[in-house]
Amino acid sequence: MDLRRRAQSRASSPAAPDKPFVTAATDGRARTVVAVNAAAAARGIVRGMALARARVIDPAVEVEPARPKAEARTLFRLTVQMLRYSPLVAPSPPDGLWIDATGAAHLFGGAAAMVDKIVRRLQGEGLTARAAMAVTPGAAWAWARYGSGGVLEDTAALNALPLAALRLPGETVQALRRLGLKRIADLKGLPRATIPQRFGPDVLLRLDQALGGAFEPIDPILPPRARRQRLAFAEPIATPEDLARTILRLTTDLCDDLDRAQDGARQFDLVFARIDGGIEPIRLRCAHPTRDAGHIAKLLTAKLENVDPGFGIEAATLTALKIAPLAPRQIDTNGGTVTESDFGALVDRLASRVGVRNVFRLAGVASELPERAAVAASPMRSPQNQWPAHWPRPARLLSPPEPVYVIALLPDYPPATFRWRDRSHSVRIADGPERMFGEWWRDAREVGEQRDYFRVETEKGERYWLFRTSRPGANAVWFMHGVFA
Amino acid sequence: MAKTPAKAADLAALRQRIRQLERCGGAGKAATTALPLLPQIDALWPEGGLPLGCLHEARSDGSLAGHAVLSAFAGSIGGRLGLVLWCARRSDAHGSHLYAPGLVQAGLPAARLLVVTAASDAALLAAMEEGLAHPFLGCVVGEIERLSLTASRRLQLAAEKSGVTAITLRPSPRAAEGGVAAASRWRITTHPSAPHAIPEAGKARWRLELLQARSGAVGDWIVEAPDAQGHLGFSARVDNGFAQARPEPRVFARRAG
Repeated sequence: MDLRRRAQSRASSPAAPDKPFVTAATDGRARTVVAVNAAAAARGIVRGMALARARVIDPAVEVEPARPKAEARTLFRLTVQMLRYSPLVAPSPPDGLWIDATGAAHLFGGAAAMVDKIVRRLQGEGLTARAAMAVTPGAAWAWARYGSGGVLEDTAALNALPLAALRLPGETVQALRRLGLKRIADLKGLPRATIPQRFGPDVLLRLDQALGGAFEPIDPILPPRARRQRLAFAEPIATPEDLARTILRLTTDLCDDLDRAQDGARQFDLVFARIDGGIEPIRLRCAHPTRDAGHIAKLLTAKLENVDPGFGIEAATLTALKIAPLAPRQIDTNGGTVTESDFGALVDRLASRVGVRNVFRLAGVASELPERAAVAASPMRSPQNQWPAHWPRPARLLSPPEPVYVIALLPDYPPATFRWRDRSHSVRIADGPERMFGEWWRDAREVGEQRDYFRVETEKGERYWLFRTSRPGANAVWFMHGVFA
Repeated sequence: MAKTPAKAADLAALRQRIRQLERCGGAGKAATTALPLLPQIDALWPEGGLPLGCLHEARSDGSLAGHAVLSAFAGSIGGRLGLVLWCARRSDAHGSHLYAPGLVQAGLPAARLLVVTAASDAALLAAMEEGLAHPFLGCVVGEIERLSLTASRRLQLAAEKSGVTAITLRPSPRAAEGGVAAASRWRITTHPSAPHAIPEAGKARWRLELLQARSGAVGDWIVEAPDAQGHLGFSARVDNGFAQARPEPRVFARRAG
């Protein structure tokens, strides 16, 4: 069964934690307290109190005018940060936010650990935060503000909380209080049918939302700069052809959006919603921001074989993420130019066949040792030649170098004959040495290592790159490192 | 061979017509159709050089040295054509890998090289075909062990359609000698360098054998390995197994092979 867990956390404005601090706003003729910190709350200052009264309670209280717009912006920013915990998050103004933690808690080491992590993250921002996780958003809201916070396993614990924990307006709470109803347990004791008649429909709805009797959706924010297209079907679809047509339509619409904004995206998430409630996701990552509908549709369709439509698919959503401005640009290939998006399209197609890691360029690295001088680099960046042109280098390199049995006329001489891979080679011409030193700043084992490279040509005209390595106090050892053309 | 200008014009028009017929009327890159290698070799081709927009195959003697020679050969051609897509198997028959600093010295700058490593010959062929569909590439190189006639035909058709030149290298000692639908087939092996005045290795030399070509030409030459611009140097022509010395005093004739 799908247990919906939602975490609710509360944040208040940053200030010195031990000094009473409130923000105030003008409400009609009086100035009232909008938010309080822990020190002020401990002195009995509560939200909604007239500012004059708060000053009577503690003359030293620090007051700042409330800035609702700036606070809403901050809340939205915090909500966006919470996307790291779950894909479904929503702000809960004025001072809270929702995180739908369904199926996410195990990624953070369990529910309690997740709540703990969220609180500590918000504390790291300089905020006072409390978080609660419960089976309904209403229960989490109540437990974070009026309970002890943390994970609420059983909604029975809500019974002792005041009625204000049900997100009811102040005057309703006052009216109920006059009737002697102070706690949630009091309300639960009344016959259900009479509650809407006596107190209006909201009270019963809020009670049901907290206890799980009524479903309450949260309205999740979209990650900033994401674009989304959705298709819902009157009749469920299941055939690969229908799914492919759906993909083409979604990508066309989405790419039209991107085109209008002159943007491209590097990630596309396609989610098929099955009629049995399951989802079938496809994720596509591109080498380069793109908005080429045909290209994206082709790559997504290629991944359709992993999709199990089950009894049918009732909706499909395509989201573009990692959006970046995409104006036509050119990359230099040192021999005519190619537009970056054309080249990116080729890289994407190759990557979808052999894997992202297996499409690369060879870039130069400033290094003494030949095996480190060329490394695999991103295919989208055009590398420069950084290698010395005056020292001959082999066309193919052996990694790691292979030991060779060498006979030289004198210890310092180049090889006269050598035996490698069960074949003897007699050297006709030798050229060298080219001396290289180990990079002690990379690896302590290379301290004092020294290599003398020789280019040798055998009787058959084959050209090998051999080196003699010597360390202080050890005999010289020969290795085969590469072959020249 | 002296030709009158009118004859030459007629010939050029005829060749153009044949090319159009051969390529179903539409080649991606009509501007350049041939890459000159060496005057002595180019004379054998009606196009005046190595024909572009088709498949060429090169094999060697199955050794690692032969593999290096093939790599430099394909690199020198690809570097002169533009951006090169180099498709190789992840585990190579000889346990070696491409070394970019050496390819630069054979005429293939790092900026023109894009490498793809595939787990199987099938994935490698698919990557080659994908590359051949993109006319902005200059050349697609594949180091492949098993190449069937059908697969080579597919490569040839893809190359004709886009005008991108394809080169299959067969460095493995296990590479089968099968029928391949290539515009030319080469065998390239190492050859001892010419004696030099001072006792150091001179310019590396290769034995370049044109085994088969669409034009019907065959040939056998000793050439100098490509320089940093990718140009080969002519050294000698081999007839009946004997290298014919070119009339310059410093080159000396020797038995080839």
